[in-house]
Amino acid sequence: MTAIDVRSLVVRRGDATILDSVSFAAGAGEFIGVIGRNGAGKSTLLRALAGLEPHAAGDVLLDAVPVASLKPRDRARRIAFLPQMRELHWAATAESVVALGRFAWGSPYRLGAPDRAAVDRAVAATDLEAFRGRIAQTLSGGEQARMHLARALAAETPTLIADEPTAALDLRHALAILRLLREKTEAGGLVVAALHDIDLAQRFCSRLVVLDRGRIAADGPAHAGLTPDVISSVFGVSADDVRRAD
Amino acid sequence: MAPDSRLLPASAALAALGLVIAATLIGPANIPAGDAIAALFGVGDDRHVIIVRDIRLPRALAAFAAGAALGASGAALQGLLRNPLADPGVLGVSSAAALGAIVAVYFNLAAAAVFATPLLAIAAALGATALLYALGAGRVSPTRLILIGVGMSAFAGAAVALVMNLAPNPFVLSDLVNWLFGTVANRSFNDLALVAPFMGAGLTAALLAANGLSALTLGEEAAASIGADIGATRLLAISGAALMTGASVALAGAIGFVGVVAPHLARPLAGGDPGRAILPAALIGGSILAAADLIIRLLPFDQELKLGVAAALIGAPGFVWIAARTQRIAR
Repeated sequence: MTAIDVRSLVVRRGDATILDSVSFAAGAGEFIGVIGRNGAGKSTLLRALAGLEPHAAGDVLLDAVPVASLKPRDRARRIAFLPQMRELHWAATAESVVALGRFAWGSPYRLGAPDRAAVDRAVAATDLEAFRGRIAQTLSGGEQARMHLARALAAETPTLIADEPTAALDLRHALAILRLLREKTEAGGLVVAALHDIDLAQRFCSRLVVLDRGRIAADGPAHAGLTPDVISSVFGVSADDVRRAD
Repeated sequence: MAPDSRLLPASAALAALGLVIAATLIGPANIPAGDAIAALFGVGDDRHVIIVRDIRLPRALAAFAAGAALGASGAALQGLLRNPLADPGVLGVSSAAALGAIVAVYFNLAAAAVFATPLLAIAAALGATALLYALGAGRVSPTRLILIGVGMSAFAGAAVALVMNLAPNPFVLSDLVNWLFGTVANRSFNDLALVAPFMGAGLTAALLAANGLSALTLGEEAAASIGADIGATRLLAISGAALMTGASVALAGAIGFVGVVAPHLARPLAGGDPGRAILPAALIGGSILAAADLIIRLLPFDQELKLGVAAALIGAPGFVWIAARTQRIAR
């Protein structure tokens, strides 16, 4: 069982306040979609959940322990993180990139049998079988996005924090990935994902957290839907605009 | 991971060993190969034994060690900075180390303490590497990083010129020129023993950073998220590279381009993994300098070509070629 508890989290960068006293709790079995406009603080919040964002005040607790106090390896065995900026600096095969997801369990050069099995499952889940041996830089944008997600999935941690896991994916793969993430939460995992597609977020997530200028503007079960008020104040468009655009 | 991934580094090791042995068997003093092999084991004509064991062997080993240290330094710096053009020479670390060594030579500090030259070279290399990182080497674009290195190189070069300007007599001057251009002529086992501990410590540090460098393939944020200790990796890679570069410069003077070319050739052997490229880069860097020094000894010039000059003549075009090719991956 895993639980994340965010208490009055404040993150500042220079003079700007990126997150302003954000509090919420999340537990096993939840699939939380974090939505909001560009610059609302989604990525910063996810980094903070993953223990990678120094904060000015407040706390992020993982199972009642401040996540920032965990050793890198211990933290990595409990939380996997897919950043928005997916960097890849050297020409490596897709499989060896996915295998880096097992880093916290041993040497990246000699994978044990459980590590190899986890890599196999992640590769299969992201539909990458055909690309395992390809040099990652030669893959298409969507294939690379799936490869990075497979890297995060290969860790098989109780908690997965994913920043825009469906960005750059075609609809078929976006749906497959969201189904995959939902299955992970149904199996007792916790997934927190920033998503830009509100419709998909409502369909797949169990709960939506709406961020607006560093504060939580709404937080509730996804099936309840977003009220027109929230949509117009947070996204700067009226609910009518959204419907007409459809 | 291909099944032959261990075979290739093994053949690189064999090639390196072969080169060092070849360098002890071939030379201007015409000793038949059979006699030279016997002399290597201390058997045969006394003059042959002295030439092979006390002149050729330490010189070949010094060339190999200097190149290996530069190759491994380059691999560690490239992995840390995620930049295929990073190398102790390009980034000005070698020039800083040369400045340290030259200051030690100029003030005759080696007479006071035998470790003064390597220690000063290493300290200067460490300072230069730390400064580079503090200036944002991990975050700025490859181009800006190289520009910072050019600036540091120019400054260290100017400081070296200043010391040479103030040189009291031509003998000191010619000694300083050796440090500046790099040479392994007349190196003895004592010279090797003086720098070996620092090279060993540097290589150990770089290899301890290897896993973290592999993780950094994903960038700092993702590397931290998969459990790499970025702070420790940074410290180990920087101190390892500085120790090896400083020791290499203390042994052979400033020799450029080996540190950028060797890792580039090594990386394919390591499946693109910057951590696993460190040892192959050391072997290849050592082989390059051992081969270059062998060629220098055989050239029929009255005045022997400096090893650093030969390395630059071969290495600089290699650097340009790599810079033109890697733009695609390096952003």
